[in-house]
Amino acid sequence: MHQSSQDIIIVIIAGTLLLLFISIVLIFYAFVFQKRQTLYIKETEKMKADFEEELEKTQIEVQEQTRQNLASDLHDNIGQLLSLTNVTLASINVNDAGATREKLDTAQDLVRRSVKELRHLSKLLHGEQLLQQGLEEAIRQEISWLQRNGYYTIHFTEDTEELTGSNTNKDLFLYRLLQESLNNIIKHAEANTIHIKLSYKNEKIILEITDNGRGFDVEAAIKQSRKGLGLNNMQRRTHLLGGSMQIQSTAESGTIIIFSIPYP
Amino acid sequence: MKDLYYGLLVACIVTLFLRIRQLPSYCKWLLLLLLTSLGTQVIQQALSVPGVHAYFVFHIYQPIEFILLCIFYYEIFDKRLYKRITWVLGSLYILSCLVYYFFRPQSFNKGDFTDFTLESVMVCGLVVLYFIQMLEIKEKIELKHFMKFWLNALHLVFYGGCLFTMGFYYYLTKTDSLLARQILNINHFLNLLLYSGYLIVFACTKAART
Repeated sequence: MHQSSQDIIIVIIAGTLLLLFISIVLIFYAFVFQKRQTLYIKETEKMKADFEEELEKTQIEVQEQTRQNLASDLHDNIGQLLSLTNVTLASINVNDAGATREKLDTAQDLVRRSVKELRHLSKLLHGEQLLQQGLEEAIRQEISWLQRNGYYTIHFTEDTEELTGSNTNKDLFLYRLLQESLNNIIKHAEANTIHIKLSYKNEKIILEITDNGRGFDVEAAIKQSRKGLGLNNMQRRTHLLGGSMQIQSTAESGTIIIFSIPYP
Repeated sequence: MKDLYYGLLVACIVTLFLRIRQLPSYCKWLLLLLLTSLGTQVIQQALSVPGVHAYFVFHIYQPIEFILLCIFYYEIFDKRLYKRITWVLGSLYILSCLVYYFFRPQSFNKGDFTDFTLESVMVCGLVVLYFIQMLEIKEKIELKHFMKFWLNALHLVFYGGCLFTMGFYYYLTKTDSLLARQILNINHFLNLLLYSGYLIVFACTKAART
């Protein structure tokens, strides 16, 4: 009997302790879970804020790039053409009818070319609005601007048949990544042929830029972020979009940059 | 106590049946589980004669119960690894039961709780796995309305408590068999607690978004 009473007491105490233990574990778990949720919400809000900030920065950079291209074109092309027109008209000798006719024709041709350049520039001014017509159209206009000086041969291929839907924010980022890559090629690569490929596979948009330039040491360039290549910037933006950036480059063999971003 | 048990079980079944379209899809496996449990109790009562209990009905019910629970956990697990673990545990359990009763046929119509003890261990393991998965959820969740949390908490209390009583039962059968049989009443209270909890969860959960 005494053993029986002891056993009963042991059972009651052990049962109570077990119930208390399970309750404490569940309460503690709920507390930890809520804490993680709060942390996750804070992280999500921070990521959202970072994304908005980066989007604003990218918009400003695209505008800045457009203005730079415009200034460069005005100075290099239209400025030269109008200066030449001015010189041609100033050199007209009204007493020499034949030469005058020829010079007037030349001046007319120069003015016609200036008007053509101005029309082309006006499209450039609407660079960001081109994105509303689609990323492919914006890329084509960017390529067309680059090809006008005749130095670069650019091939553009696209394989986006599977793509349905669009994301204008991501289009802006991709357009800026392309601009930065092309700027790097112009400034550093010493290339004359560029291949640009835009494709869509497995819910990801892939932008591939290849040049036949002198190549560079990728790791060293990423470490020295002040070198002006802005690779860290490009990497950061790609990661912000949930994507990845790969660079393959060897000395004298050109460079391939591949951006892969979930889309839309 | 039997009346309260049957009353709660039927109330759970009716509540779940009435709300089955509003609740998440994994609840249909719990409905099947409760129906099977009710059916088992009724059949066991019908087959039992004075002095002889039809324990074999429970030994047939245990694997069915665990398989239904495995399907429930398979649906609520997101990770492939956890889904695989669920199937492995389910297969292991059935194999263990078959082997055990093949080599100990005399236990098949006795109050042998080995299969139930093994099931309790495995269900507690699945509950722990689910709680680990829950910590990795990357969306805002209001815990008090999160049905899966409460179902798993109930399973932990029920099967964890049953493990405790089984442990004490086996200890006490060697010293005091009368007390050992009385200890099993704790399982009945745990059943009442489980079904009460189910009833509250099924009745109070908001309709699932489509």
